Amino acid sequence: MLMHVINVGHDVLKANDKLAKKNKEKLDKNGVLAINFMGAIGSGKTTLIERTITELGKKYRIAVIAGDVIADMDAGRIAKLGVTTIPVNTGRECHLDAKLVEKALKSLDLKNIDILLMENVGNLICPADYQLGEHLRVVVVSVTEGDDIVLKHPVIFKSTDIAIIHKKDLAEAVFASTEKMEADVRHLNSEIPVLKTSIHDAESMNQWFSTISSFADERKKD
Amino acid sequence: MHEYSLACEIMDNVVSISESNQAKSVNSITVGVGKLTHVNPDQLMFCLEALVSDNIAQGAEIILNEIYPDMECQCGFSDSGDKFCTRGDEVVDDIRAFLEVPCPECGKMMHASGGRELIIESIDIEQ
Repeated sequence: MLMHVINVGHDVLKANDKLAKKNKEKLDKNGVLAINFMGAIGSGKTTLIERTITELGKKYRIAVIAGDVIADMDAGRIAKLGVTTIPVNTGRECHLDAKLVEKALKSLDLKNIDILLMENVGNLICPADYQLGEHLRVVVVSVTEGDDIVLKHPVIFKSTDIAIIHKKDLAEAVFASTEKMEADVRHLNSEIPVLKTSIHDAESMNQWFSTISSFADERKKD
Repeated sequence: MHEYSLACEIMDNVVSISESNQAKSVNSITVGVGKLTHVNPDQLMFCLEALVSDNIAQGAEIILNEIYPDMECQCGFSDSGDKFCTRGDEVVDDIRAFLEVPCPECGKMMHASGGRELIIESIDIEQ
């Protein structure tokens, strides 16, 4: 018998990133702005997506990829708003990955989409390791998760492009400081927009809508 | 966490590479785990050990190497991340260790480069 050491050098995580790059090229070719919504269970991702569709759907053609471990409740909620929604069940996985998104993109008429909203699985850990091909990474964190949640999950906040501190109207009731949460995000990632939002505060929601609009308009010009 | 699916992907690669190299058996599999990934080495080890039970890699030794990022500063300073894993008397050897590290030369915050890998480094086979 001969012993033989094979030097492999295959990076399993980088394989995902390569596929994500392909997804991004496909989205770019069709002028689609893709947004990866990450955040814990119950942080308000689905509601935020619903409101975004209701408001920005007047101006942009929106589609949604709704990731969930099992079931398609979120996809059902979103589809009611009349936008194309692809439910993606991740099965045992706690995150969307580029392969799942690649498959979902095949079911979408990308030429007729301006903004693609991708709702990740509710989790602040695993999605951080996986690029999907998105142009914008958005982390939604609610005050009800406790105001030390940002520092507990530094990696996802380091890799995001926008941070949303959501349900700010509940801060007092749960003894959370939105100022602390904002400072923690800025400490980790000083350049990004940090929005404090509540669906009961129209002005804060408008800030979010105009942030997304400005990214979408920028892409249209490209 | 996603250790199980990553372990499956690693094992699929190990089996196909071993078979295409006419392996009769696999002695060891060496995997590098980046310190900045969320992969837990103990869980990955557990999953890989469970997966080498009924294939060509049965009985193979699993070797996990931790991969530290390089800490780099705008001023040009750079050194391996393992040099920056103490905070006073405390050893901080996880993701936190590489997030806010001031440069020993100029005091600015350094940037972590690498450490995000999960690499099948080598496979030791019997032909």
